[in-house]
Amino acid sequence: MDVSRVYVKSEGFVEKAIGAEKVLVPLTDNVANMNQVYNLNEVASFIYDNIDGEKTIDEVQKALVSNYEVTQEEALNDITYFINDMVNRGVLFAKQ
Amino acid sequence: MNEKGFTINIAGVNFQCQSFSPKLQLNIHGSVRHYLFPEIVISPDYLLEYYVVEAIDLSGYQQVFIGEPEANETLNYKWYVYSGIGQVILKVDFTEHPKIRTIAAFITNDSSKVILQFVLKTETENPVIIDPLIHPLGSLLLLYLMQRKNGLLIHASAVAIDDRAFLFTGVSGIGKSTMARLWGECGAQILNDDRLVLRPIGDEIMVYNNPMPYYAQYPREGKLKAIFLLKQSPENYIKPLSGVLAYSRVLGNFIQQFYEKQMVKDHLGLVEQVLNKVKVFEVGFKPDHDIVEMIKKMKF
Repeated sequence: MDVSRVYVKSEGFVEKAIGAEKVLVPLTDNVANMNQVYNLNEVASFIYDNIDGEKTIDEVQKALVSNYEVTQEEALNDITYFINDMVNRGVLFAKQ
Repeated sequence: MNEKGFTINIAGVNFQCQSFSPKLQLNIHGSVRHYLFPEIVISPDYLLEYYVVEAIDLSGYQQVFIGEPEANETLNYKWYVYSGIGQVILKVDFTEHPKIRTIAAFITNDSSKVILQFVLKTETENPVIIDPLIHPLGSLLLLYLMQRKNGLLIHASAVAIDDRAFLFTGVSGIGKSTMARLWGECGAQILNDDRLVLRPIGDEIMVYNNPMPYYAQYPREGKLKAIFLLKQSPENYIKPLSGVLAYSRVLGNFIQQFYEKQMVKDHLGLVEQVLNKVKVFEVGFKPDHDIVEMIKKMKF
């Protein structure tokens, strides 16, 4: 993964924090689909919150390492896995 | 004829209903008959005003939903939701109704007044008698009007016993009615076995029945203590759920036709308020009284 990349969130989801976790509800043509929501665990929610259209992957990785007991390598693996999955689902986009 | 109008109370929300057209008479003996409030309320939550019009013009509004009857219905119609600036419009086109062609309900944000316009099929001498919550408009109206009063509608059954209410939900055919019947046989009061309203009131989440097209029930309510997601299973079991898993699994059972981010956010926030107070369990059950005893023994 190119760690200098910046990602942005799609406008097509409504997020709801439940404690440290999150639910993402897709909006199709502005209409909510409550039967196909995405559940994000605590780490995924942390990564999602840190993807703000400005931070690079490198910066997200540093934030993850300083907030959770994970190695640099584990953090990057988690971020890579999460971002690839979310890009495939249209939740995140690479900033051009 | 009830020229002065009347008030119905559903889930603690007062709806004053009044026809302003001599051609339209509201039937107080239909689905709402047990929900009538004995007197006119000074400041009702909603004023439903019924009018006969020649035509309904929805140009300038954007269509957001189209719906059709459910498979088991005999009535033929199509319903639509339109949005305008600060407005939601619910429209029903009847294809086979003997008297009514189209109904539209105009709901305006920050206003308690709801305007219901009826286009009749033919000129008639006698007034057309309609249920104020005429199906399927009534269900749609309740959904949007309840949301503004922190009310949620859910496909579920619910029972009350010893000052506690339990709600059972899950996909169609999973056993919501069966579960309600089992509790009824064990002495519990069945609040309803199809659709309920949930509202946070004080420290409690209250669960209420509401007028339905094919029911003749008196208003019933209870303090909701737990939501059970039903599964069919060869053995009885009860498994607590929490966090996002509980949230996302309950979420799909609420009735919702919501659009626009703010409306969706309000709904998600309301569901969270409920789940902050009410525990969620997955329950596998075989249809006998053992499951009732298992749940009765739980502490809430």
